[in-house]
Parts: sequence; structure tokens; C-alpha cells
Amino acid sequence: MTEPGRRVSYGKAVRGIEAGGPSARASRGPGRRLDPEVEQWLAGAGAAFPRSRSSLIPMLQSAQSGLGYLPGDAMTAIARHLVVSPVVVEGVASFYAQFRFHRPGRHRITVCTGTACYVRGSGKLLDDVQADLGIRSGETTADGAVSLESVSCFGACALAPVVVVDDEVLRQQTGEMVRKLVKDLVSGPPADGSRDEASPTIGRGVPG
Amino acid sequence: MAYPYTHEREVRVMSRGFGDPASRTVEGWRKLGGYAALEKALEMAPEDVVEEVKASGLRGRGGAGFPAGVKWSFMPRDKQGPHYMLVNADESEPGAFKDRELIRWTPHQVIEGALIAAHAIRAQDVYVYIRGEFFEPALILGRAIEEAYQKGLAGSNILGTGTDIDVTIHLGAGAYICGEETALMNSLEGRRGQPRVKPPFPAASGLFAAPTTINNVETVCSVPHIVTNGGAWYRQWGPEKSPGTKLFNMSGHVVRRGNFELPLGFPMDELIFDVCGGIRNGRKLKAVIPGGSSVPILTADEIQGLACDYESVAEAGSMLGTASMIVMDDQTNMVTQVRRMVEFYAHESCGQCTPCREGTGWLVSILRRIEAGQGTLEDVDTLLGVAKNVTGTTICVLSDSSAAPIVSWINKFPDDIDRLVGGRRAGAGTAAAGTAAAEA
Ligand SMILES: Cc1cc2nc3c(=O)[nH]c(=O)nc-3n(C[C@H](O)[C@H](O)[C@H](O)COP(=O)(O)O)c2cc1C
Ligand code: SF4
Ligand code: FES
Repeated sequence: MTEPGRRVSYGKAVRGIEAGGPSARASRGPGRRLDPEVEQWLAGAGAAFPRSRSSLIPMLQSAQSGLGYLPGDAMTAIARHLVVSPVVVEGVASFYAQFRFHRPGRHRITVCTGTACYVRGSGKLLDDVQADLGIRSGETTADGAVSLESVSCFGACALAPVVVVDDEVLRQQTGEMVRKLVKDLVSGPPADGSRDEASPTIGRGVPG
Repeated sequence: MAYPYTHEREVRVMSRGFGDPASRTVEGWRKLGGYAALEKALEMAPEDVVEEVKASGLRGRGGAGFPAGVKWSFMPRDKQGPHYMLVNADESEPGAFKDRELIRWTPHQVIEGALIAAHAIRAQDVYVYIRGEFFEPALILGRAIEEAYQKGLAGSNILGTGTDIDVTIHLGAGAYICGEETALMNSLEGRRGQPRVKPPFPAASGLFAAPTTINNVETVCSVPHIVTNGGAWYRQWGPEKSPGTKLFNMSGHVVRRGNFELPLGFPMDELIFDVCGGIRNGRKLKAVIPGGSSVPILTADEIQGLACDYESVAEAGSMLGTASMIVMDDQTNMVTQVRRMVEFYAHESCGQCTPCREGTGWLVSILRRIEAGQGTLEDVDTLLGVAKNVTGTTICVLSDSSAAPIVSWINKFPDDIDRLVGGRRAGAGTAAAGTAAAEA
């Protein structure tokens, strides 16, 4: 407890802000110019959102789909638009697994490790893919070609083990199949996001 | 590949349009009898719609099985401010894949059901909360909503009746816990998806503190058929307390995996051995998780003659939940599967409650140790102790869910424990042990 009237010291960074010192202006000051790409997003798609708290998550999603990930400036931009503290935006963004704070690879591979896929060998599948790519789930290859992620159930358990590649749901995958896929992907054009209807149907009687 | 297989014992009410892309359009959906129920419902007084759904005995398909009509009747009758109708399409429980199919194949069924529900509870807005990973279903539903607006089936003055109801999709962003109804509301409001303490219940204070009803996609999809044909018609299927048909999502080691629509009360052994063609590669059945990964595991013996309805499965010591069954053969390494399930809950804990945040982490550590062959009999007791402490002590039941697979596994598969820790707990493997452990 602090005695009434007594100033609390929050440490160097905050004192800098209180004093209006250089660190304040450089990082969070209201007038600071943001990254031009972020400014461009904000002026376009971003500006269309109503200035209410419930726009927060849709704005984060819009920024991520426009910029590929959420740089700090994007969250600052959203905070300014909604007139809330950047901390509020970051606090919400960090709660949800789909928000990325680093630039992802050109392609994204997601291996499902939910129970229905796990009983059909997705644990080993993920190990194989990790070994092949030389990265762990959550990482991106050094050449920036592929990011590897895992998800716990994709809601397509009849197709287990499920792998999602650039938004396309692939059924009954093996390490071998994913290896070939990665090869084709890396040599092919970048994802264009237009394959959304290509995912297979969960038919009755998917062969066991 | 369109639904190539339909078992002759199926009763296709909600799944009639599955496999036919035409049912994604208003015209196609009308051909299947669609939107007749909406026309009928909008002519009815809201409380009459509620009564019809009450009479059908329809129970919520999102897991808990709460009667839908009763839930609707909790909404205030004199509307003093906005009311909200929420459709829970967050389907993220490992093993569950019914809502995704309902949305992908019959988006208008979802829209029609939601509009009828909204009319019944006097809501002017429907929000469909779809998990973020469902980009394709969301796209299909988005197009269907667009078409419904164009054809005067949604928005203002629906079908010329003077009723205004807007339908909006909200995409989740990767958090299992947002399927919990109050977490979902926080998420819609632009907050971290953390469950709220109840009461107040949503019908009193839900989204934006306004009276709110939330139902699962499948619940909502059952509604148009009930309105068209009447509550008594719906009761031709299923036992007294669990009427109607239900999608059974079958995965794991069965020969035929997929969604099968069957009357509630269908025998579980026939479901697995007849409808799904039994266990693949001629192997034996070891265990079934009957209602998504958060319910207690059943053994091969326990499922013999067990009726798949809410009461019967509960009596057998588990839960029908979403009827998302993960079937495991005799080669399944249960400790690995249990560890993976508990890892999932530990990862998805929203962190508000200490027993859940800390307890799930400890459960995972101990399970990993046992899986690696370094566990002791004492570890097994610790597991049961922690499992007990995370059950019934928290804001929501996610933490209970992490305990269910562990406790049922330890009690029902004493040979596993024997093999792993080289010992047997006193009295393990007997019926009495199950109760003793639950009370320990
Ligand atoms: C941790 C947790 C996750 C849940 N996830 C879902 C879900 O993904 N979909 C769903 O419909 N209900 C889910 N529920 C249940 C909802 O809280 C709520 O009971 C349900 O949506 C009510 O709909 P119904 O009455 O139509 O079943 C979840 C509950 C909990 C505790
Ligand atoms: S039980 Fe777990 S998930 Fe549920 S509110 Fe508490 S911490 Fe969050
Ligand atoms: S567990 Fe992998 S899709 Fe459900």
C-alpha cells in the first residue's frame, strides 16, 4: 500500500513517459508516425470499423489478413482508432492463438494433434514433419518458406490425421505425403488464398 | 466426394441436404422444404413457438443437453431493450465435427433455425460465433446470409411480416474456451474470452448485459423441422427424456468414420459394429470416448447394449455430450492419449481459476512422467488427488473436463497402471474402486 499523496515509482520507462522524455515519444506518443504499411491498412480497411470495443477482434483479424501478422504498430493503430490503451489491444490479441506477432512463412502447414487425429498417428506425423523441416511447431524455416503450426482438432476428425496447408484441409496424411507437399509448395507460387472451397467433404464412410 | 454412404438405419432430418451443394442456396433449401417453418413461425406469437419447442422436448446439442424450449422461456416477455440470439459454432472439442458439416452443407438450415429462435425470444439480432479455423464454413454461411438478405428472408421486414432480424457472423480467433457461453459473450464484446461467474445467467444479463439466449448449431438446426411438423412429431424418435434425432460424429478406429444421423437411444454397440462397420483391421475394441474428449472413457464391456441418450450414458458413468465418439482399438496406448487430452485442457485453460491454471499443468507433468515409465504408484494417487481438486471448484467446467479422462482411465484400465508403474492400487479394477476413487 502506498500512502496517500505519495508518488509511486514505476521504474525508468514509465518515468520517461511521465516526463515526456524521448522514450515516450519514440515508442507510444500519440503523434508518432506508424509504419507506412500499417498506416495504409488503417486508412483503408481499418477506418471502416465502428469505433466500439466490439470492433477490436475483427480489426485484429483484418490487420493480420492484410499485413500477414500483427506488428506492434498495427496494435497501436487499432488502439488509436478505438481510443483505448495499446495495452488493452495487446492483452486481447495475446489471448487468442490465431494472432501472430512475427512475420509468417510464405506457406503455412498446420498439423492437427487433437485426440481423434492423435489416435490415428498425428503425434508421429508431427514429429516427422518437424524433423523434415528442421523446425519445431510454432517456428518458420530460415528461408521464410514454411511456418509449422499445430492445432487441437480442426472439426474434421473423420478425415484424421488432418493437415491444413494454406487454408486447405487435407485428409489422412502421412509424413511421406507432407514431405512431398512441402517440396511442391516451396518450388511453386505463394499461396493466393483462393483455395477455400477445395477442402474435402467429410463423407460418410471415409475408409478406415 | 459427396456423402457416398448412408446407412439404412439412419433417419435423415437435419442431414438431408448433406452432400448436395444445391442445398447451399435458398432455392435448393426451399426444395427440401426450407423456409416454410420460418414463414409459419413468424405468423405465430413468440410464446407459441416456445411452447412448440418445449413440447418437442428438444435438448441442447452443445453438450449439456438443457431443454431448448425451457431455456427460451427464461427470456423476459416484456422487451425493454435489445435481446440477443447467439449461435454457438465454436465447435473445438477434439472429436466433434457435426456443426462444421451442418454449416457447410445446409447454411440456410442454420439461418432459418436461428431466425425462428430469435423471433421466439424477441431478439432483433443474431450473432453466429464461428471458430476462426472454420474459414470455409464461414465463407459458405456468409454467402448464404447475403442471399437470404437479398431474398427478403433476413434483415428488415422479413417475408413482409414486419419482423426485423439481422444476422451477423463473428469469427473466433483460436481459443477453445470461447465455446463456453459466457466466454463467447466476452469475446463478442471484444474482450479476452474468459468465462463469467454465473449468476447472472444469460437470459437476465448476457451479451452487452442484455437478455441473451445461446444455442448450439445443431440445436438451432433441429428447430425448423419441429416448427413445420410439430413437437409431437419430433417425439416419434428417442426415449421420453431424450427425443429426436442427433448427429453422431464417429472417429478413431472404426471402419466407417463420419456423421450419422440416428434417433437418440440408438444402441452404442450397434452404432459402432453395424453402422460404422466395426473396428478396422479386424482389431478389438478397447475404449470409447462417447461425447467429445471431455467426458469419462467407457470400456468395451460398458458399451454393450448401452442406449445413446443423455440419461443412459450418464447412468453408465459418462456423458453423451455432443455425441462425438472417439473409438479406440486394443493397440491404443491409453496413457499417451490421456496425456494428450489433458495437455489440450492445460493449454486451453483461460487462467482465471487457480485450480484449473495450476492443476492442469501438474496433471500433465505427472502423466508425462508416468508415460515415460518413471512414475510410481504414489504418482497415481497424486493424479487422483489433483483431479479431485480441479473438479467442481472453478468458474467453468473446463477444469472438470481435464480430470474426467484421467480418473476414468485409472479406474477402468488397471492393467495399464500395472504395466506403467509396476503395481496395483488397492481394490483397483473392481466396481467399488471407481466410486471409492471418485470420493477419495
Ligand atoms: C469449456 C467449454 C467449451 C464449450 N464449447 C462449446 C462449443 O464449442 N459449442 C457449443 O455449442 N457449446 C459449447 N459449450 C457449451 C456452451 O457453454 C453452451 O452450454 C451451449 O452452447 C448451449 O447450447 P445448447 O443449449 O443448444 O446446447 C462449451 C462449454 C464449455 C464449458
Ligand atoms: S475453469 Fe479454467 S477455463 Fe474455466 S474459467 Fe476457470 S481457469 Fe478459465
Ligand atoms: S482431432 Fe483432428 S480434426 Fe478433430
